[in-house]
Amino acid sequence: MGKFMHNVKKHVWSYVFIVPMAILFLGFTVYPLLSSVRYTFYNWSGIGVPKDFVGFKHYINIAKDPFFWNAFRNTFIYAGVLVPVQLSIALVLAVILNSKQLRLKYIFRVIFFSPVVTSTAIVGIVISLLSITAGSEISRVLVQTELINRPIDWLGDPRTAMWIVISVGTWIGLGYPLMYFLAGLQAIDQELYDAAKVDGAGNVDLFWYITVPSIRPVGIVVLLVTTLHSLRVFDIVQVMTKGGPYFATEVVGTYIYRHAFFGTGVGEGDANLGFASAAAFFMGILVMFISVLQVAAVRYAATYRQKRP
Amino acid sequence: MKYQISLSNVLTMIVTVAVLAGCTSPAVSPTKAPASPQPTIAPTVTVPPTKPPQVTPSPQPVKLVYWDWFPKSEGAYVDEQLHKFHETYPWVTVERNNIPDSMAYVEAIKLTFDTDQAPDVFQLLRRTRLRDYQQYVMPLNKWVTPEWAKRFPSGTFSEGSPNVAGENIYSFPFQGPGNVIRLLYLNTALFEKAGLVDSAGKPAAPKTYSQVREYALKITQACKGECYGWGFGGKDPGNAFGNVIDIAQYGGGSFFTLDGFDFKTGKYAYGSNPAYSDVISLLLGMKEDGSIIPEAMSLDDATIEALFAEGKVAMLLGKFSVATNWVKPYPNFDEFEIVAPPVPDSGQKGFWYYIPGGNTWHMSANTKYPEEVWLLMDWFASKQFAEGWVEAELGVVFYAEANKPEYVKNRHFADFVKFSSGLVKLGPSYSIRNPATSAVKPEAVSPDWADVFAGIYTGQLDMKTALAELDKRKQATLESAIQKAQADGAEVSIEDFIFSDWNQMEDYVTQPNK
Repeated sequence: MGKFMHNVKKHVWSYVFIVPMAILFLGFTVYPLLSSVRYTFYNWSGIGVPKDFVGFKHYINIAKDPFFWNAFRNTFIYAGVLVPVQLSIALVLAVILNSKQLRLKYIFRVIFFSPVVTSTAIVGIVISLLSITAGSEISRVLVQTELINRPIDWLGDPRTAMWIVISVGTWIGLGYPLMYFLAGLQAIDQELYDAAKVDGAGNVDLFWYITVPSIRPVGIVVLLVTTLHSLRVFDIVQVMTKGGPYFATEVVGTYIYRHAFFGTGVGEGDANLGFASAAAFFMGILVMFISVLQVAAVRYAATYRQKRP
Repeated sequence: MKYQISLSNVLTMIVTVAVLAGCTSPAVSPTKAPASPQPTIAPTVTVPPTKPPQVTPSPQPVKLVYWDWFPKSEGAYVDEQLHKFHETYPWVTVERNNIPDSMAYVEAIKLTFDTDQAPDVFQLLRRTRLRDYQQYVMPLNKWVTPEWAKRFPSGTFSEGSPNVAGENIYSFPFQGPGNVIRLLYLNTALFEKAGLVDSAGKPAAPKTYSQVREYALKITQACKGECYGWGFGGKDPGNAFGNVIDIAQYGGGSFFTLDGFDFKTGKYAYGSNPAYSDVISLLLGMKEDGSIIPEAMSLDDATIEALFAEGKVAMLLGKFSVATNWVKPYPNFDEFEIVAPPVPDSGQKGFWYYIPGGNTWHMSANTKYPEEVWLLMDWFASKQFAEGWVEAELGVVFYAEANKPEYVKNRHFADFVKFSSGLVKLGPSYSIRNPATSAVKPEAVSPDWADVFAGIYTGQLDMKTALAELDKRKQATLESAIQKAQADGAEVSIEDFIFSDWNQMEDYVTQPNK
């Protein structure tokens, strides 16, 4: 205790600076999270005090609901495709943008980062409209060239909707990993490249043996952040497809939203915040478990690599 | 080295173009109209002009807070009326807070209840169960005298009506039942293009499902890929297939108090009543023909309405508000006709139905100024307010004599007013027969009809199996809700929901306890 207090006194200003963020975190993250746990045991429309206690019924129903598992599967398909594709593109673009020979690189950086600061809702609406206007023209060309026999409803067809959403999600979030990678690349000592070149390394060798190992710590952070962020997908799906057609693009976020505010999507009277809270909590636990596994796997891989002769 | 520079720049340029392509400004879509208000009752009696109540002005100025979810057009009329109200009662000022997004409105009004800051006067949404909000609403029994109630049709304040709970009256109807009807919109130019016009140049209205399919195909073929015979906005299945289910109702289905429920047998009948399969088959047939705009499932209501006005779609179903939605973005667009919706080939077997009563405005249980709030509610229930509403082409009202086509200038709205009185009938009401049925609260089923219809249309579900399973789900929740209500002491049974003598082609006057 004495040592602890001594440490606190020694670094008192560090704690002072942490306090505002800690208050916000406790007030706006921890408290709502814990208080929503109580609601998971009630049928509750969101009005007044919850009274209709149902115990673990919501959890049992969620575990048995094929539409929850459909949403769960879609969420992981979204994340499973988006993360590797987005990170690969981001890394390649970062290497290009880090090139000394590239002109107007600052303009390109701004351009690539701009989707991140654009409202997802606006992007979703724009892409939805493009899928109708430009999409119908693409369909027309495909029909004329006899590649398909009837026009495609890109966002209204269960076979294509999810892929369009994943593509847009990949594009809109590209800026973050790109900037992380760029920062990582800029921190690499140029002398490493020069020394490797003297040893006869080519461009591919430089990339694989200098660039990739040097940005691995950044890459692990980016991988974790991007994965967690993509598992929380909601807004782009809600704006573009509302989870449709017939749940083909429904993710856990839209599943929770539907039950919290609409129930079946037909009437306001069907909303059940208790059920939605249970779904959110259930998903939170699953994501937490997966995140722990992911961190453990990354650490194990790093340790294995270090031990390798 | 030159090659490296060139490759970097080329790759960067390619991705840049892709990024910029997505930043193109969107075409602005008209704002989607909110859900239609709750249907109320059409009077069969002549109502004398209402007189403002005699009141003693308060010595202190009174400021009332009033919340509604009216969209802009209705809101402008309400603002104008609130101004007149203030002129009549100068000591009362009304501060109107408008949230036209119905979902946002629901959340906001719930929040005011939770924080004891409910407005003095507020609206609730269509399909809102009064019992969920009862503690926040002031009973109006003190003011609803027999004389005052005469302006409404009989049955409006019966126990079991949507505005009555127990012996307490909480609200009164305003908008007429005709507002819920769906009409068929025909684009004159496209019908002309396909040669489907009569000698006067008016579109030949398809009367049956077969004719709809035939005309849609003819128009699509005449358009050669530039336009389509039929359109709908399937992005929001609740709206898009709400139109479809309403047409099914007209073809002999059920009505909104229990969608898909057959009141004659006490069973859900999505799978067994051809009214539903007929209309879905019509859609699937037109889809197979290529007559429906291919992007239908990606479009919202506002976009499909815009495409109709731009001559890309020849036919669509919609409420009367579709015509008024065009006024602002397409002020010169008049080349369309509104006709009665099509019926199955076997003929019309139903109508739109309504039950007596309705709830639009409510007084807060915690208001400090109940007398002044009542003045405002009485103003909303007045004949002059109702007539002005129709003249402003905002819909029909419960005062039948205000619903006259000659009151309105717009010929399309006049057509709607004409249809609205002929396409609605009084339907059976289990809540009037046995008010204890209010204790029966069927849980929501998922997926419900809107999603199931969407799944069938997109080929993800088999129609026969999906509709039969929907019936099973809904029947199970109803029976389970009845059992729960019985366990809680309510004297209810499935028999309360069965009206075996209901003739769907005629008005049905529900008798209490029978």
